[in-house]
Amino acid sequence: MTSVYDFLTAQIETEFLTEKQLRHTQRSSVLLLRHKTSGKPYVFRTFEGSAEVYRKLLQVRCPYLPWVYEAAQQDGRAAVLEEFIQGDTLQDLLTAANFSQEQAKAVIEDLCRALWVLHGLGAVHRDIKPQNIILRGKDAVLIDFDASRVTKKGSETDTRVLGTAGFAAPEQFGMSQTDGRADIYSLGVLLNVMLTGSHPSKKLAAGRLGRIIQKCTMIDPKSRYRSVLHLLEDL
Amino acid sequence: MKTCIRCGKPLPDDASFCPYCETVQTEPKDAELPKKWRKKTVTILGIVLLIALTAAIGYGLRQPKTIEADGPELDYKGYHVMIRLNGLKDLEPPYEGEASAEKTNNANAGYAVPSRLFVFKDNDMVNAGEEFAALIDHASVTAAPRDGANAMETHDPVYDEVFPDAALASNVFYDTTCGTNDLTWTIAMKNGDTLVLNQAFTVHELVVVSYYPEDVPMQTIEELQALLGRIDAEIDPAAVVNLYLPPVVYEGGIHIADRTYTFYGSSDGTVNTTFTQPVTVNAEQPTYTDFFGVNFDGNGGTGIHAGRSVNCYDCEFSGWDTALLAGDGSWAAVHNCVFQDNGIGYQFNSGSSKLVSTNFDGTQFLRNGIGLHLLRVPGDKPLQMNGCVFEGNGTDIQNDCGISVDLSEAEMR
Repeated sequence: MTSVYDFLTAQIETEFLTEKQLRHTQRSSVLLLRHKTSGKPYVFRTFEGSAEVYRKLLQVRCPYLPWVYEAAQQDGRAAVLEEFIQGDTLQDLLTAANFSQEQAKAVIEDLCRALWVLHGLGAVHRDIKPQNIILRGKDAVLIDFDASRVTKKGSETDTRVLGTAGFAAPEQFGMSQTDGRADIYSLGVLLNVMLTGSHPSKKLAAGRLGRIIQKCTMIDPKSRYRSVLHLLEDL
Repeated sequence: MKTCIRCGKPLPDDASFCPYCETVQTEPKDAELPKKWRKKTVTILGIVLLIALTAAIGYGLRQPKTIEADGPELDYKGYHVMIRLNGLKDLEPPYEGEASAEKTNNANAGYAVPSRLFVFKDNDMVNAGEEFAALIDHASVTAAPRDGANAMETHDPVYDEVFPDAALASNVFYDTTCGTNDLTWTIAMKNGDTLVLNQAFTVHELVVVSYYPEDVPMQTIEELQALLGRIDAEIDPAAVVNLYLPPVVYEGGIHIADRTYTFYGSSDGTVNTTFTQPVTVNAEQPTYTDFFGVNFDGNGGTGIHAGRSVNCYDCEFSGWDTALLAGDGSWAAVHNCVFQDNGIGYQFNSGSSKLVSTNFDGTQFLRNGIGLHLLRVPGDKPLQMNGCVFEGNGTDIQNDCGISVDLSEAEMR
C-alpha cells in the first residue's frame, strides 16, 4: 500500500508546478507550488523531523494559521502541503519602520489566537519570529511549524534544540522542557522588536506594553503569563 | 486504498487531500478562538455592572421595609425605639400596660393615659427623641380590642411638651368597657420604612364603694375613724372608696394607708367639712388620696402630711405650722385651694414621686410666713403657678432647691 508520504511527494511532481523555492536548507525545503489544473498556489515543505503538529493541524481551520491540507511522515522526514498565505512577512515590514502600539498589539493578539489553537492541540510553535508571521490583510498568520513539537509529560528536556536565537525562550536551550510559555517568551520579544526594533534586553518598550513584555520574557517560565489567554486579556 | 469523495480517484487510506481535484477529504473544524474582552468593553461592562450593582443596592436600600416589633420595642438604624404607657420608669418587662378605671354611667367621663414613644441611641439611654422625630414622616396609633371589648380611643401622636423626653405622645382614652386593647404604633419614616410597635393595654374595672352620711354614721371624728377601720378590714384594698362627708367639723384627724380614697367635703352654708387635727397619708402601695372641698383648720402642727400622692381640690388650709407637707414618695397637687395664715402654706420636701402634677392652678397663698416652701421637688419640670395669688406672705416663695417656677400667670400682690 502506498504511504501518504510517497503518494504526496509523487503527486507534487505530477499535479503541481514549482513556482518558487521559498527556502532551502540542508534539513528543509519550502516551495511555492501552483496546481496545474486550478492554478491555485500552495506551499509544500519538507524537513527532517516530525509532522505530528501538522497532522494535528489537519483537523482545524483558523484564520491565523495556514490551512494544512496534507501532512505525512516517513523515515524521519516530513512532507506538508499547506495553504499559501499571500502577504508580506513581518520581517519585510519591520525593515521599513517600527510598528505603532496599536499595530503591534493587533499582531500579537492574532498570534495569541493562533497559539491558543496550537497550544490547545498540545503543541508548541517554538520558532516565533518575524519571518514566520505573514500579514494577510489585517490578519497576522503564523506559519512554519517545522520547529514545533508536541509536548510530552515526563520529558526533562526537549530532545533537540530548535528555535531562532534571540526569539527562543531560555528553556528551549536545554533548561527545561518547553511548553506554551516558551511561545509567550517569543511573543514578548516579538512585541518589543515591533515597537523598538530591538531585543528587550537591549531596549525595552516604554509604558504598559513594556511591562507586558517584561512579564512575557521572564527567565523563569512560571513568572510569565500562564497562557496566551492571559496575555491576550492583558493586552 | 480509498477514493476521492469528489473525483473518485484512488487515494491512500490516510490521505486528507486529493491532489487531483484539490478536495479536502475530511472538512476540518473551525477553531474556536478566544475573544478578547477589550478594555473598552470591559470598562463599559464594568460601568454597566457597577451601575446595575449600585442600582440594585440602592434599590435594596430604598426598598421600603416594614419592621414589626414583637412587642413595644425595636432597634432601627442604631436607635432603640420603645413605646410606653407608664413613662420611662417602666423600662423593664413586662411591658403590658395596665390601668384601673371606675365604672361610670357618665358617657363623657373617662380616663386617658399617654402612650409615648421614647427613642434612645445605641441602647445607651441617650435620649434621641428629637433627632428621631425629625426622621418621621407621620405616625398613628390604633387600638384593637380583644374578646369583644370596646375599642379605646386613640389619636395621632404628636410632640407634647408635657412629656419632653418623649419623641411623640398620644393620649389613649378608655373606660371600664375596654378590657384589653392592643395598641399599635405605626411610624412611617421619611425614607419609606415603616416601624410597627405593639403594646397591650388592659383596663381593670375598679370596685367602687361609696359611703354617704345618711347611710353610715360619720358625724364625729370617732365615727369616721371607726368607719375607716371597718373599711380597712372589710373592703378589697384594690377598691376605690368614696366618702361623702357631712358638713361637720371633725375635732381630730385621720390616718390613711394603702388604700385609695376620695373624700368629698360638703357645706350647709355655714359649716364646711373641716379637719382640725393632722391628716396623714402613708402607703406602701402606689395609692392616691383625693380631697374635694375639705377645710383643714389647725392650731399648729401639720395639716396634711402626705407620704403618698395627694390631690386637693377646692380645699382651704389655715392655722397650721405647715398646712400641707409633701414628704418623700409623694406629690401633693393643689388646685383652687387657699393657704392662709399658716407658718408655711405648702412645703415640698419630696425626693421622688410616682405622680407628677406641676400645675398649682388657681391656688391662693395668703398671709403665710412662707407661702410656698420648695425644699425638694422630684424631677426638674417647672412648676406652673397659673392663676395663683400670693398676698401678704412673709415670703411668697422660698425656693431652696432652685427648681424653675413659672410665675408669669401668677398674681403677686
